[in-house]
Formats: sequence, structure tokens, C-alpha cells
Amino acid sequence: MQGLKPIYWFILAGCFLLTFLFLIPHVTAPRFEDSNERPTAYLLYASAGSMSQLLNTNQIDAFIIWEPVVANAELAKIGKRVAVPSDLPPQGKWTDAASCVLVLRDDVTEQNPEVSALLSALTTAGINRTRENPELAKKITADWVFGKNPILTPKGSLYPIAVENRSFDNMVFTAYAEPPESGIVNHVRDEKMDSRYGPIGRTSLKVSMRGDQILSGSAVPQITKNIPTLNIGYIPSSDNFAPLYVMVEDYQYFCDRYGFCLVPDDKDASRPVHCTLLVQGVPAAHINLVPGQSGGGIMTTIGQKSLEGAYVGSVPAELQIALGNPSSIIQSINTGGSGLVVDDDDPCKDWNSFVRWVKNRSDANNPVIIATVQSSIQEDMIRDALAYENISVKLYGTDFETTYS
Amino acid sequence: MVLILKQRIREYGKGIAIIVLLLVVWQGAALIIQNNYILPKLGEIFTVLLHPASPVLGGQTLIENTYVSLKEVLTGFFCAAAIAIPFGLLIGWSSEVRAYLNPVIQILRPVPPIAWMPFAIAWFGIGINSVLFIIVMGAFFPILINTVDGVNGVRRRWIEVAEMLHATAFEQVRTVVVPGALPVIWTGLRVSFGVAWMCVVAAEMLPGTTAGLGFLIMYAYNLGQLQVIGAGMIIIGLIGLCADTLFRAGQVRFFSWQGKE
Amino acid sequence: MMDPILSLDKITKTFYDDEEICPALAGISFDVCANEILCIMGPSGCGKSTLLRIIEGLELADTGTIHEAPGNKAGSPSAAMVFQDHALFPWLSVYENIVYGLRLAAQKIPADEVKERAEALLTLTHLDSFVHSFPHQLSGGMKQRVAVARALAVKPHILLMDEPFSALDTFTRMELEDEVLRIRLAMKTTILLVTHNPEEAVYLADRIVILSERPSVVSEILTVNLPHPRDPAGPDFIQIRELVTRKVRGKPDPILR
Repeated sequence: MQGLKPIYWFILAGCFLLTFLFLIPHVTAPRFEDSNERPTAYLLYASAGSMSQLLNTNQIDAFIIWEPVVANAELAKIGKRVAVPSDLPPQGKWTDAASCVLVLRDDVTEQNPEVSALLSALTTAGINRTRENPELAKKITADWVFGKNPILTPKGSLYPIAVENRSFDNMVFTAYAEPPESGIVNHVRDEKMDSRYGPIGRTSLKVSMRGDQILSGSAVPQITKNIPTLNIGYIPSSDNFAPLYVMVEDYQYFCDRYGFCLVPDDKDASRPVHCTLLVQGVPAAHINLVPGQSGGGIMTTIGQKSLEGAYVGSVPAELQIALGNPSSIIQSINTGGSGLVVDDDDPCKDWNSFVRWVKNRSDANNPVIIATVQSSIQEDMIRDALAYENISVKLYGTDFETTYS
Repeated sequence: MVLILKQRIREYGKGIAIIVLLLVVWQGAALIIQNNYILPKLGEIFTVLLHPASPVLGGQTLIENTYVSLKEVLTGFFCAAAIAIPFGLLIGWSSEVRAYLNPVIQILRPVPPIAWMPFAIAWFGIGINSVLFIIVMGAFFPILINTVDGVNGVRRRWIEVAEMLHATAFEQVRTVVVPGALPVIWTGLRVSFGVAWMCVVAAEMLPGTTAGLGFLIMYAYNLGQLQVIGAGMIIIGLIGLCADTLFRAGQVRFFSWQGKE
Repeated sequence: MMDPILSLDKITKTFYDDEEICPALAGISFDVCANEILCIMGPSGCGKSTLLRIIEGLELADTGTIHEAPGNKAGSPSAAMVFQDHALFPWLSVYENIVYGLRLAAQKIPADEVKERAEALLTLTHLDSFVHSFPHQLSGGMKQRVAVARALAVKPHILLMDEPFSALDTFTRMELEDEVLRIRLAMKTTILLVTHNPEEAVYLADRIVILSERPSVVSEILTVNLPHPRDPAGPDFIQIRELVTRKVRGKPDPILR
């Protein structure tokens, strides 16, 4: 009837548009290699907090993520860890690669060389303290990351300290690890002509060397009258930043031993934000510890000059620096600290059986879905490792194949 | 004929002049701030836009990402319409049904689509279904509310005419209520598409999305490439503009009688 | 009169508006003869429209009965109404509006007859050249013509008109009054017309029912014996018109000459 014409047109338009969109031969088809010969695995991007739940509800088959998410999943009987970075091929590539690093923007280190060096020194001191007193570090980290209350899991509850015990086994804290050669960075870098990627562009040794001098006592920190405020980002859900937590919570030790320390303004806060860098009791800088969700976001915020630096994953840092972020990596925090987790029932217990499993599933036309955080070192690791095993990696939900070798 | 053309140009010209002004201001500010992380320069944004068929940041092309988002939004939009219009007709027509359903609708309506995200994953799993759910939650309520309003706004008199001529209740709905409510419903559809399109960015933050304009924007943010975000926003805006234009054309074509009765 | 086509017997209607009880009709009784034009008049708010709506079936009387003669047009609806605000469907063209009633399931009219009836009515109401126009393109008078045609399309026993011309200007009103007379002749319809305008009533009606103030009863039924065409300037006409006016306003009769 006349009055209903608009509805008919609307329905017609709907059917037409949807048919058109769904029937378009997939736009990526031309680039789709015929990988009948190669087995496939799907990669899926998710947030750290959602991975355990996704594995538990069988929507993914595996995930690779940082500690303590891995330890948490293991102890909550959601899954089992089948590989750590040192297990992943190419052999030895990731064993000594820096997982997390300290990054500072270049103009910040130029304008505040002493404060930057002090921060670097304090970070190294924090690393040392974590290594020499792991029990203290675990306690501090448990409180910082999880809080005082037990962690709820699908099957009951866990004590945070139990998670930390497991998690710390998987991390090596060191200030001297090199950021890895990142496949992702190489791939994305090709898009941009000018890039500062390269060993020299990535790291700035000036600051860390001065920091080492201060730490060893061979140089005395010079503080100026002008007290800068530095906003430093970090990711509070990650155990990898244990040295930072130790640095802040155990400040008295550092004051006593070194004469400089980072003192929280509110000593009772569970995750202090406002802190003061003291040198021989005199304030040298205000440091605000700003929690963030993702390494990439934090790096962008540094570029926007809302953060002056951050403790962040090495790959997100490298990636942005390669794409033009005017920052530099000062030093590493740790290596290791990640894990590949699969469901308890899955027929694998190590990397090789995992690979076999992936190939079998691919042959059965039911490729494995692996979740990871986008542009993280974990994504880099798994892509590299799967490429090494000649397994093609596609993005879940598309036919889009990505090879970053 | 020439006169109409000139008039059209003058009308569009005003809008275009403002856009050009904004672009000039943007570029000026970008040149002053000199920080691509805060305000990318127009040239960089256009460079991205002018290469829609080349991979962006090592991923898929602009065209591919746009295609994915369009597919998601259109599917969600039409699903929402298919559910909301009949529901709205029912609620508007029957005060019984409205008494039952109105409270729950008023409670759910203000909840932003983003808040549904955890449930989306839990109920629909990863993949396009959860994304569609978010988009449907966003698109549903404008259509529903407008349909109800449209039905309520149908002049009692028209229904009396139909009654007087012995139309059955169903015929009354089909021949009077629906056509009479249609202009308001149409507005609801137009608004709803806009909301659904806005939900794209939120929906594509869900785990499991690996393509789309929203996804591209998040990815570009993680890489500090704000010019890609700018390009994505422009595309989103242009498509929204297209859709709006189509809806308005429909309004002129079908509902020129509105307001003059 | 011969067997009336419609008989009303003690129709009452009371409205309950929140807490107010509002008796409108307190026992209306009269008959309507076939083929006559019967005007209903009365002071404002006495329930004339309500009465018409009750006859039409849009509302139910509280008590009283309406008796309809079966009539020889089996299957036709008993009454069709023309409203003051024409109430055309704006999304339908003139043609579509007119045939609206014919397309409903209740009618079961075959397609070619629909076309026939429509064309006849278009000619009758002088709307031929506006077949495909839309209501918003028409003037008030034309819209009302379409409303009349729409009502007549279903061949009702009685055509009810609720102050159909009050919203129109004087000259259009006069035109349409002539149309009503012409239609009555051409289609032999019975017409029940509510109006506020004494001149209109005297111009059109065979009989005039005058209702009292609320709660209303039939205060008087006047017969207008003037032959058509009636001259509104004529002395008889004016006398009857004055009479009607006084009756409606409840004033006592002057001494009749």
C-alpha cells in the first residue's frame, strides 16, 4: 500500500546492501597465498585481563602473555604453561632479550640529565634489591599488583603470594639486557622511509652510564634548584615491573644505602602515585607514577608530552621509536616474564608438542586460536616462533595472512 | 534549472566554506604545535587517505578496514531495526504491553553500549557476534523510542476514520498507524544509524576483532600514528554524512506531506 | 413519515472526567427518514458531536437503543462520517484516499468496481483534475470534498457530517453546501448534519433537531418546508432562521405573525 512504500524501500536497500557486502569476493583474496601446504594458526588480540576468561570458556585455545597472568591461570587450574621465552625458536633469541625497559623522552633527558641518571640508577638499584631479596620483592609485588585480598578464581580463591612465587620463577631481573630484534618493528618500519631504528637509535647509553656512575659512588649527583615534575607511566597488572614497586615501597633501604631514593608522598597508599626523588634528604624531583593499560598507549602519551617516560614493554617502545617517537630506551628491567598457556586437557606439555598439536588441528580444519596483546613482545615472540616452524599466522576472523619474518 | 543549480551550490558552498576554515585552523594549529602526537599535519592525514589500497601500518588497507566496519554496522543496524520496529509498534499500540515493558526499557536505555562489552564476550563469544551485539544495543533504542512516539503521534482522528470504515485492528495498524508513524520512525532510523556507526570504535575494541576502522584507530593509537587516526575519523565522518544524506533524501521523497497536514 | 431509516430511543451518555461527572445526553429520541437531510443544532457543549459519534459507532451510549432499518443495500455499512478537520490520510493521494474504504477486507469489492465508484465520485465532487494530488496540495474546500467522496465511496445508509464546513471560509462553505444538496439528489443519500450555523441549517435541512443545554434532550424538531433552491435573503428563510436561532439560544418565541 502507498503509505508503506518507505518500508519496502528500506527493506530492499537492506537486503541489497547486506548481500552486496557479504558476497563481495573477499577483498584480501588477491594477497592470500594458497597455503594448502602450510598449516595455519589464528592470532587474536585481547586485553591481558580477558585472556584467562577466554581460555576458560574455550573461545581461544592458547594465550601468550606476561606474568602474573600466566601464573594466575596455572594456579587457578585454568591452564598449563607449555613454553617460556627461552623455549621459543629461533633458539636463544628471546632468552636474553629485554622484556620490559625504562623509556624517557629525549628532551626530558636533555633538560634533566641528573634526574634522569638518578632514575636510572635507582632502577638498577631496585633490580639489584629484587635479586638479593626475592621474598621481600614478591611480597611487595603481590600487594601492589593484587592487593591484600585473595584472588577469586573460577574454582575458588588464591593467595597473591602463591601467584608471585610461581611468577618470579619465570623472570630474570637485569638492567643490561638488549631490546630484541623485533619482527613487528621491521615489518611496520618498511612503511615509513625515515626511521631511527637501529641499535644506536633505540637506546641512549649516556643516561644509563651516568646512572651507573652514581650508583657505584664514583660520581656525586648534582641537583639543581629547579625541581622538575616527571610523570612516569607503567602497567600495574604486570609483575615485570617488580623493581619499580620495590624501589618505591622499600624506599628506606635505598635512602640508607645510597643516599638517594624515591619516597611516596602517601606512604599508606597501595599504589602510590605522587613520589619525591630525594638526594641526601633534599628533593630533586617530583615523580608521579601513572598507571596505564597498554604499552602502545603509554608511548603515545609520552609523545604527547603528558608523560615524560615510562616503564613499558620493549617491543611497544621500539615500535614507536622506530616510527618517530622522540624517546630513547634507557635500560632494561628484566628478561623472560612471559608464558604460553594452553588448556589443561590439551595434548601438549612443551613447545614441540605444542607445534605438533597446532599442525594436527590445522589439518583437521580447526586451527588453533592464540590470543595475545597487540604489538607486545609476546606477539613478536609467537609470530617469530610460528614462522620459524613454518606455520602461517592469520588474524582471527579474517583470511588476512601476516608474516613478519 | 540553472537557478536551482546556483542555489544548490550556494547552499553547499556555505557548508564547504566552514569545513575549509576548520581545515585551515587545524593545519595552522598543527604547524604551531609541531607535535604529531598531539595534532598531526593535514598533509600526513591526506597521504594516508590518498592511498586507500595500500596496507596501513603493516596491516590491511583502508578499503578493507572500511569494508569490515560497514559490514558490521549495517548488519547490526538492520537487525536492530527488524527487532525494534515491530516491538515499538506493539508497545505504542497497546497500553497493556507498554505498562509491562516501559520501566525495563527506561532502565536499559541510558546504559552506554560500551558497558555491555564484558557481557558481549561472555554471551556471544569472540568474533563478529559480540561486535554485532554492541552495535545492536546502540542502534536499538533510538528506533524503539521513535517508533513508540510515532505510533503515539498518529492522530486519533485517522484511526477513527479507519474504524468508521470498518477496518479490523490489524488493518488499522497496517494502513493507518504504520504509515502515520513512519516519518518519526524514519527519523529514528537516521539517528540510530548514526549511533550504530559511532559504536563501531567501541565495538571493535572487543577482543577478537582484527580489522575495521575502530580497530585501526586503536592500533594506530598504540603506535602513536595519529595521522592514521585522523584519516580513520575522516572516513567515519564521510560515511556518516553519506548515510545522513540518504536518509534525508528519503525524507523528502516519502514524507513531504509531514507537517503540512 | 414512512418507515424511518434510523430510530433513536432515549440515548443517554455521561462522561467521567477524573472526578467530575459530566452528563452530556439525557435521553435523546428522534427518527431519521430515508433520503432526508436532518440537521442537529444546539448550544455549545450539548453533546451534538457525541451523539453523532454514538450513531456512527465510535462511542457507546450508556442507555437507550438505536434501531436501524435493514435497507436494501445489503452489506453496506450503516454510517460513514465526515469530520470537521477532513482527516484525510496525508500519505495517500486523492484517489487513494477515496478508495481507502473500498480496499478494506470488510468491503470485498472487486477491483474494477473500485475504479468505477472512484471515478464516479471524482466526477460528482469535481475532483477529476486532482486525482493524483496529495492532500497537502489542496485547499480546505477541496480536502473536504475528498472527505465526502471517501465517505460516500462505501455507499453508507447514512452520511454523517460533524460541522463539516465550520473551518472553511464563507464562499467555500456556500459552494460545499450546494454540493451537499447535489449529492443528496444524485445519490439519494440520507444525511445527518451537525452544525453551529443557523443559516446553513435552514439552507440544507428538511428538518432541524434542536437540542437543549447539557444534559441535553430534544427540545424541538422543526420542519423546514421551503422548496429548493432556497434563497438566504428571502423573508421566509430569514424568519425560520431567526426562529431557529432563538430556539437554540433558549429564548422564548416572539409572537408569530
